[in-house]
Amino acid sequence: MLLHEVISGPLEEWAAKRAVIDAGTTYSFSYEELSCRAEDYETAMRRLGFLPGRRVGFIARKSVEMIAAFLGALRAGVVYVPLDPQASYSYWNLVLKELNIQDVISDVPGVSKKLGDVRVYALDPSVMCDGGTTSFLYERDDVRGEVVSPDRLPEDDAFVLATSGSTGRPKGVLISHENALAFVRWASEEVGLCQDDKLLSVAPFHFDLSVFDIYAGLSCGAKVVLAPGLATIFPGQLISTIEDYKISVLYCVPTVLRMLVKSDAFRDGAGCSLRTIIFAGEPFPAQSLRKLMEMLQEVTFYNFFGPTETNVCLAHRLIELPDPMSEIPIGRPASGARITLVDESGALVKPGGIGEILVNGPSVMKGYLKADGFHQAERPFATGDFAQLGADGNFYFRGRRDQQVKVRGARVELATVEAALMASEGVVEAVALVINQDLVAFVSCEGDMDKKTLCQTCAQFLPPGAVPHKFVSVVSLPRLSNGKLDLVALKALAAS
Amino acid sequence: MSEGKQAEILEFIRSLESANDSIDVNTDLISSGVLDSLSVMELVAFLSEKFGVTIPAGDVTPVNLRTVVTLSALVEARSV
Repeated sequence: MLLHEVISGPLEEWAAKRAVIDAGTTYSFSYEELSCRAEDYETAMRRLGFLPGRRVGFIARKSVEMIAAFLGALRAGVVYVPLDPQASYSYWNLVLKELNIQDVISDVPGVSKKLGDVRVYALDPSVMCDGGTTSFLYERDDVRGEVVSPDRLPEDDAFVLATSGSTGRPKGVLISHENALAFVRWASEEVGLCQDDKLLSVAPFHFDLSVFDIYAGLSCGAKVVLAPGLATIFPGQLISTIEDYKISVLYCVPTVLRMLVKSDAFRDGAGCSLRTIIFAGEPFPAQSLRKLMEMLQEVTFYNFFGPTETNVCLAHRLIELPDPMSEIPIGRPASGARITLVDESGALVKPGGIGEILVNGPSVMKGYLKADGFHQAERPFATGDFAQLGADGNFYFRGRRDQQVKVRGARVELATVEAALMASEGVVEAVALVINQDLVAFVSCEGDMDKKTLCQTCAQFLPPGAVPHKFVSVVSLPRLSNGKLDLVALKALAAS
Repeated sequence: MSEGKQAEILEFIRSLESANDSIDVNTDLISSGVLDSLSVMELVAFLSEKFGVTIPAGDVTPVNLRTVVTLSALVEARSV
């Protein structure tokens, strides 16, 4: 089975049901309309000569049109690569170059003039990007039913998600149809998704949480509602979307849920349509989670865990209110994964010991895409995350092997941020740290620190989520006698 | 009265890490990128404390938080 085939199952039964709705614009497709639209995209891509295996970038805001285009790409065997639509041109150019992508589908006005030799096509035929852009879809009646689908295999490439590599250069995580399906099938069953469910899609499409929203949702005949763009910042907008669309399933990062707790968004019975909330991407402090669970006593909560490379490989269903001082487990194996913990020499750790999480299973990616081509993933895949198996049979997260951190649920390589800071003129030394959920840059400059220039340089090389929130000017970085950074002194500097 | 509120709100906004001194009462705080998930909550906490008003979650919307002028109007509306 292929990933896009998840929606073609009982289509006769669902045909007229709404499949996807954009809460911001209220545009929507029924299951039948979505299927037809996907076919249009498939045909258009074939006519443009996009052969199976070709990679096509997407630089567009979340829309129902984009979901149809993803499905069309999968049908045509084209591998889609969604990029952060809020990033800068230089970041897009960097990723397109590293991943060797020559075609981009976009709804950003004027984008084609700034992407060099990359060919740009307008996502929505009603939106003309600019004079140089080819409108993507042909007239619908003109294209339907002319092209026969080629044989595609479950191990073929489906999509690529870009992440920041530890070397400061972006890399692509290549996911096959069967990789994605292993997670989608497991998650649909675990959560018990059904056609009465209404999922709220909060995560952007370049973030792996969206794989659940789109494919698990559509595979069950549920309604997938795209949250308005600002809903992750404004609790009022998020809660009104949940209310208006009677959302039953919500999957997002703890940062968003904590915002709802802090603003007391669920008072007076608000959000009573919710039945399941899933969080992932970063640890959820038990105290805050407990408050949320107290507000929503009928809701089932899950903690999903796993890097983009494996999708969700561990999961925990919360059965009772957590003790405020306790730690939320990352749970037990998920998506058919086999989990082992190993020490530095690669030997299995003793029972109860801390070790690096190795994952083997159907959801583990095919491999990385880098400037020099495809690198097949080692199996089992070493995540760089440490864990410990508790006496309760659950795994507990125990930190990272390297400098990768989570900022508002998105993964950031500190080395990449530091490399971007150092690229700014006049910077002598720089270090980046996460302090109280903020990404803080400590910079020592030849002259006065120019925050604006630093911000601009960072935006050139980094996705928006990796640009520091705070810049602290230091004469020189405080160090301990052994030469290591004095983290206590840095934290004190950030606070002052 | 309202101008005093605007000045106090503006001063707080300018003190945010993502802000700069060129911000005025009509600057779009959303499109200019001044507000993000944490600063929205900081701002709401500031308004509640400074002006002694309760701002329900349903009021924390882009429309109400777009500029210092709309923020001041929100505080006025909730001060009754």
